[in-house]
Amino acid sequence: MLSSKAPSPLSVDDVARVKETGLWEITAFLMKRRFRFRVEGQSMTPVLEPKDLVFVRPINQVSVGDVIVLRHPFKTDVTLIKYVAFVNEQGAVYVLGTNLKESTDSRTLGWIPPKLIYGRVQSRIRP
Amino acid sequence: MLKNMIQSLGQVSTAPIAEAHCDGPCGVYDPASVRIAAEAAVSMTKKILALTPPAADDAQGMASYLNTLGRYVAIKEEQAHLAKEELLVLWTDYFKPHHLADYPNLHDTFWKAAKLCSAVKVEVSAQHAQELMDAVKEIHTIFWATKGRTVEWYTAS
Repeated sequence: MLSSKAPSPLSVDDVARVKETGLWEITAFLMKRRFRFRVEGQSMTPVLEPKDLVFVRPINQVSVGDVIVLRHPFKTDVTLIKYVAFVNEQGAVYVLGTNLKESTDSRTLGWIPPKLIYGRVQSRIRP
Repeated sequence: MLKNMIQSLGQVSTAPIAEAHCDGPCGVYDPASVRIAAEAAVSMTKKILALTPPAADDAQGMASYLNTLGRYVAIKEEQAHLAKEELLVLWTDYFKPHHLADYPNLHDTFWKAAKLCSAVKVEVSAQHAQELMDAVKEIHTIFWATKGRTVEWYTAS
């Protein structure tokens, strides 16, 4: 499934804005319609910073520019957070960090099948 | 009030970790770690080949000889394996698919270098030891070229 030519990174402005959490997201979380994760690491700065709390909508059909949470393809106990740079015809995604120097992503991991996607980041709380 | 409640949630909430960092030590890679381990294994190979066994009736000399030989072999095993591990970290973590465009033999170069680590570990071969150092030198040159830098090759011995 590896492409011979890697998709190009998006500019930060093209990565879907992660809005601040409001009442609707809290309600969705209380109704168990959202997962929450704590961000660790610098690969998604400036969109997300370390210690940000994010709320994730559990879907596996995502679009270019979405920030998503996914399972590491080779380490089953590791969860990653990246943005979608490309979606191929099979629904597999090519993910990158917005801070490429600090990111291990599809440049190393290859294409991510949709079954490894937990969902799309809807909002954040920055402590 | 709602804003304060949400902010408090962000501070106290315990949530699973979503990792946004790199697998390696955040971009710090250097083939020098391979070179140092490989050089140690090569040095042990040379020392083993240079050892002269004592006369058969020299019990003290034989004990000393076997002790020294055992130490050399143990260090050669350890350092050759370490060199292989350091190679694999560079190969799988530092190098990215786009490097293959400039270095189409990259995978073959690493595979042969890793095989030479195994050969140096298993054998006592001056030829394979030299071939390992040559392979590490080639990887050193490729690595620094990918960073746009010229770093002179050197050895400690």
